[in-house]
Amino acid sequence: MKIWHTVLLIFLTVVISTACAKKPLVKKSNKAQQASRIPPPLFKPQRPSMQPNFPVATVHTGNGTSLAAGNFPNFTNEGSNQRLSGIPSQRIIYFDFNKSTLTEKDRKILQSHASFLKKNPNSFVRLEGHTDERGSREYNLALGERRAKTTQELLLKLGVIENQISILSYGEEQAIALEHTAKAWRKNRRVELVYP
Amino acid sequence: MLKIIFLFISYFIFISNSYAILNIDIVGGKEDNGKKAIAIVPFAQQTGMQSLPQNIVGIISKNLTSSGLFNPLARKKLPEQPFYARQVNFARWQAMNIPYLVIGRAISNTTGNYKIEFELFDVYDQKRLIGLAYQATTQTLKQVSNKITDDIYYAIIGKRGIFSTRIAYVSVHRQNGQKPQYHLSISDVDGQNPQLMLRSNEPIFSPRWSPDGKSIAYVTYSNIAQRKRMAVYIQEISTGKQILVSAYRGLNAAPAWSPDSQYLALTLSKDNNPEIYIYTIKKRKFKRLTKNKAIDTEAEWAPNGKSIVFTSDRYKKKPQIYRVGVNGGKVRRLTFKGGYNARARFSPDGSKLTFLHQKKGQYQIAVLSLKTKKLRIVSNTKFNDSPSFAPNGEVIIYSTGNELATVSVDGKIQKRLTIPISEVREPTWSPFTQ
Repeated sequence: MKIWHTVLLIFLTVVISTACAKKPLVKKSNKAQQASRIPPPLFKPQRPSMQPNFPVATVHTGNGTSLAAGNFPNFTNEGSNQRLSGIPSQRIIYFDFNKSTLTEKDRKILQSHASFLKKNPNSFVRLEGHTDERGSREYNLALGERRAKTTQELLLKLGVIENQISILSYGEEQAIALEHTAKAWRKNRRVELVYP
Repeated sequence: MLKIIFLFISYFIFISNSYAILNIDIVGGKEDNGKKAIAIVPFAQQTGMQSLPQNIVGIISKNLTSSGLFNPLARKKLPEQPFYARQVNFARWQAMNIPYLVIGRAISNTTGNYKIEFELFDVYDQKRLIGLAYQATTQTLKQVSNKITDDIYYAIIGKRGIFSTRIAYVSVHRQNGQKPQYHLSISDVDGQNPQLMLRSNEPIFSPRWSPDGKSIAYVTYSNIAQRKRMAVYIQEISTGKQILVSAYRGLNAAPAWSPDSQYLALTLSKDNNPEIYIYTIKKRKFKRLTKNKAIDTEAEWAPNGKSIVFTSDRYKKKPQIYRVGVNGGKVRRLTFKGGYNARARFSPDGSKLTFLHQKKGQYQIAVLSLKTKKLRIVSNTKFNDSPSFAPNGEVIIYSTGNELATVSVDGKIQKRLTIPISEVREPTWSPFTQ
């Protein structure tokens, strides 16, 4: 796939540059292009592929019999990374304790993501929900999902297609700040918009 | 008048009976802070035998001490060191107010193979309570010592000991600049001899030991059908074989075994909302149990198999514990004190629940007696989680911050488990081994 891309790119470059050289009228449209200041394309750095889970190490029972290691089934790696330009830079939304409601500021951030997703119908976003460390770990998995769901609902309302969104909750698992303070907890209660 | 006399007499009879009950209790043994004194004499070894690689008596003493119910006599205070019944001078032990005596012998005919014999005596009755022999290898000496502790514990306390049980837990291993690694491990009940069961770059949650002792169910993340999903697995301990239970869109979480190990209750949000489903393991079929737009999660099966308790925030978005029959029907609320009660586990006899209870901003482990509705808090640190009962119902294990701790059900005896890893959480207790 990549080789073809490069070949096509080179081919097009050659075609366009020779074409430009022959048509003086192109100068005018060039000026128009410069006025709108297109930013340079931003390619998202390659994400490392997901590692399959490890098989079980040998486990001994009290009877001294040696036990077999298990074989973990092979999982396919996640789909190829999207090459997208112009993903909105604000990708985290924060929440109050035990709440999953969105503020006006959040809505603005999500609006920019909705616009992006609508302009790039082949792109998709994964909404990752998080909580702070307090309370039950299992209940927090559900709470993290509720936050991601609220975010999803707004994106759908703003016209994003359902297939472009997936949801994953990490509960309290992926804390950004590890201290046991209110400040740290505020940073951890969030939904991240991830473009895998 | 006769009535009054009658009442008077019955009152005294009642009082004297109660007093008699008290008397019997005291005669039973010397109690020091409620602990029973016991002497465990170092086991004799067959002449010419190499020293035992494990200190059997040391292990037994440590086990009995850790239960909080025994006070083993210090070795230097032993007035004599018999190893056969005929050598025991009961009068000497009675003079020291030691009600229980353990003696033993270790015999080895081939290298690495042992026969361990022990006898437990009631000193005041001058009677042998139990006498047993075990075959052991170098590798199983500790296990045999634990089994002997169980035998002694049962003979004196009348309840099964947990010294031969094991625990499983999740631990996190962090290295600078790298994604944290998660381990699911099994260890002895004191945290010793951890053995790795599963290693992953993705978080592992909610390990649950099956009641038949053969498998552990857990939650992790996997790439399935080109999407990263939360998934519930069952892993057979002895073979490492894994079965994928569910990996639907959304939550696949909080698995709970039925008492006959045939079903798993779990949380799925595939129908738009976290609900409890019951999965028939052999038939691979799901049946929905709850129908409420609130979060319903953290299912736990009652020991009689007839009902399930779970966490729901259907009332004002505040998690509380509820109960429903396994075939559906009316949902009853069980917790009414405080605004956050979650993650309930049943005691093995079904009479109590332990769960996470928020009080003044702190998350404590609470025990609720279902009959009397009395609530007792048994932890005393700030951020606790994941309580569960030992198979004998006497002890609760839970995570406190990044460590594991145990506490007796009455809250009086607290212990930290020394596991040689820094971040440990979500312990699950094995059932009794036989």
